[in-house]
Amino acid sequence: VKARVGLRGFVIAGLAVALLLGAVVSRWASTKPDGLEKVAADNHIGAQAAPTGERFTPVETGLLGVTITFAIAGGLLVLVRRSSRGRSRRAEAA
Amino acid sequence: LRGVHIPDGFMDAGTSAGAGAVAVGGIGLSLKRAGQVLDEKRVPLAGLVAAFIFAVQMLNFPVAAGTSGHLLGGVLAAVLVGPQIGAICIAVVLVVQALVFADGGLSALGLNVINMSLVTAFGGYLIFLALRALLPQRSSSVVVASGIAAGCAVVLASVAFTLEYAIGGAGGASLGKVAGAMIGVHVLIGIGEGIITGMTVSVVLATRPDLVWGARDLPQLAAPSEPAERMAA
Repeated sequence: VKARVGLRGFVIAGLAVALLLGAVVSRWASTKPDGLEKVAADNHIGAQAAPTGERFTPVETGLLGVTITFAIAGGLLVLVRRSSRGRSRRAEAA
Repeated sequence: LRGVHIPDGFMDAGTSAGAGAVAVGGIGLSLKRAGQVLDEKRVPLAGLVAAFIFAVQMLNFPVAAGTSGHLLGGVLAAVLVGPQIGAICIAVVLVVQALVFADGGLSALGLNVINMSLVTAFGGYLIFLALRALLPQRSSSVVVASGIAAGCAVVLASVAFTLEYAIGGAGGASLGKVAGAMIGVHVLIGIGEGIITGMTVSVVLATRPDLVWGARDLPQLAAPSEPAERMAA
């Protein structure tokens, strides 16, 4: 029987991969406009804003973005789970 | 972070506001339903799915001359944690990108949530389920169905953008020209989306198949009872 990776280990390893992709691998990402930007520029959709100064470096974006997204999504779902369990307990008590 | 989602000013105010209302309704219903299916292990997993998709959305890959594409992630999230929680994960990614990194306009957040969260997570998951019904009952079918559904979902998202442009687009270009260009380039981006989605799902199936929502009907992958496993929150 194959040894199973624990949930905690799985989540930590996954976060490490995400941080690596966002902060390091992203430096090799294509800098060409993406499909939406290209179609919009070719067809004059919206005002073509001049590029503004970036608030964060790509490394900061990767580290911050992964951490904040994990915290907000996880925190939101903890709240959802608590409120739904509270509701079902109240329904049982009623 | 480069702007890769719909910025402010692509659609008129009424269309953007209407899209905002649809997005709030769709995510609200998803939150309600998510409460019924969330178990202890899916909370940290969903956080991971959102964080992972944030990172992979940064990895633009070249598609055609002078154009790139990036993962949208709706089918990936839906196959791993279910369409409702998956849609919430993508919506969180989009909100963080818009609020913290100024990627995607605030007034366009509803449009971006419809196209990249609701359409891909729910529409894409329906395609995934249809493919699963056609393919043999084994885990490799989950990988193939995820990949194909993910590719189709990107095209669906570009169709949704085209419809929004038809309703309230702020631009002079003809609908036919925008539709052709938008859907054409997203067929190519969909190939990349399909490959990334299939690869990621196969890695999770190889390590923790019991965590894959879209494979929970496969009895050989079901979680053995393991009371020792607890994730302290």
